[in-house]
Amino acid sequence: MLKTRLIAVIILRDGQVVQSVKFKHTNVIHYDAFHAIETFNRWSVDEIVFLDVSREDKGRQLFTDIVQHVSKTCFVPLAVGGWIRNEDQAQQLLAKGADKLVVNSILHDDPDLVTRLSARFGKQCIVGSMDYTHTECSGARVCIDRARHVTNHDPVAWARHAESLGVGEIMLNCVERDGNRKGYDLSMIKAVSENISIPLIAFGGVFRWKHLVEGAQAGASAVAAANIFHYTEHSTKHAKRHMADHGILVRQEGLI
Amino acid sequence: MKQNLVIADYGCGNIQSLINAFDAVGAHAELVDNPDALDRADKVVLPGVGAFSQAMEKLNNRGFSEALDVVRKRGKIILGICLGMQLMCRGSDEDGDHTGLGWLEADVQHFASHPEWLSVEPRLKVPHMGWNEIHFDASQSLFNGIKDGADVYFVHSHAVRCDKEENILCRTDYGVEFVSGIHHENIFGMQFHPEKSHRVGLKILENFVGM
Repeated sequence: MLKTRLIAVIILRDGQVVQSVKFKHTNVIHYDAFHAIETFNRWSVDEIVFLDVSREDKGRQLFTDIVQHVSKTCFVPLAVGGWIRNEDQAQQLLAKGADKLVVNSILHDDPDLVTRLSARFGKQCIVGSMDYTHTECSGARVCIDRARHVTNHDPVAWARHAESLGVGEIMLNCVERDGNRKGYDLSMIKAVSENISIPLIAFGGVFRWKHLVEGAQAGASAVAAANIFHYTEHSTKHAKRHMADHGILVRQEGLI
Repeated sequence: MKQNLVIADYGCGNIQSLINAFDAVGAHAELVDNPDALDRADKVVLPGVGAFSQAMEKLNNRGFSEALDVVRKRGKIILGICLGMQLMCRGSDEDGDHTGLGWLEADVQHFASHPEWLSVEPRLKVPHMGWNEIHFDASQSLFNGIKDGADVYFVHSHAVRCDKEENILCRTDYGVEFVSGIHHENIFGMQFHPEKSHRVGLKILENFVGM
């Protein structure tokens, strides 16, 4: 049967790997993106996501160069995203070696572009990333631009909307959980995954391997984490072993 | 072993990953967008991502269908990957009924065309995306060094069914058992992406190069 995917997320700002806490990206992790990829390539990760949070053009150009370099030796699917705003940019990233594009703000700002990207490159190429926050009075609400702007959209409805625009997967992140070490927001994972027919990637908040197990059990097709994988040796291998020990079907080594 | 390994570039999909993967196993793969160049190929790879009908249109309009058929009749090995494998069949039910190259007795159908698949609770996600097992006979040299049941990377919404058992290279289960690899004379096909299947995928490509 289809396995639950373990995804390593690498967040880059101006070419450096950074940690993400409540969407603030200030801590630089002291090793570079190439080292990160090499490590994950060796250690059983099923997919890699590269997200760019650079605020300046120079940082974004660096990001494209890194994608090109890294994709040469990345033999698992590579999804890249951050500030994708037009078709040329999308085309460039794919031409440089990305397998999938992660889009977020344009789901809100330019939904037609999402549909065009899906039609042009195939929906399996488009990951709709969505962030949400728990507001005081209205419950969970989708937010954009690194959680700086809160919309009036309910996450479940937003995920269904993204699916109708043509994304092939949903990547779900809760602002409060990001970097908070308390695991995923399981009830939202369940609610969203039950209401879409495309796969869901859970992201944000993983601190213990059991969080990954919980995410899979709640309905996520893939469980993703960023911070945690950067700090422990052989971490993705341990994560998978823990998941397998707790009944989650995961990819194992397939060579004799 | 020096051979002319060629990838048909007919405008469907991102080929860079395939080139990188062949590089990694020490084989130089040449990208050709001119069907005449298939003439001197020893082995041809037919990639494919996207919609069946659009891909067939491109293959036909750009002269690739004919050129590939010539290669096939000459007995040169052809490997279809993902949509590339589907195109080799008689046809697909994707968005209506579309005719493929018809190189073997097989058809392509959406997962939802199978009552068995539809009856799985909760409803399985589409596309079939991620790592799943291939089951094959140990005699298949393409899978030398690979465990039966090894996971490879899939991303597709339609699956192949073969009329003949002997054309099945490998099988996979996703709510329903489907044909994840085909084999007929000098034609091979893989529904999964070996270039994205990590060490197992690279080993398969290495075996393919060595055939």
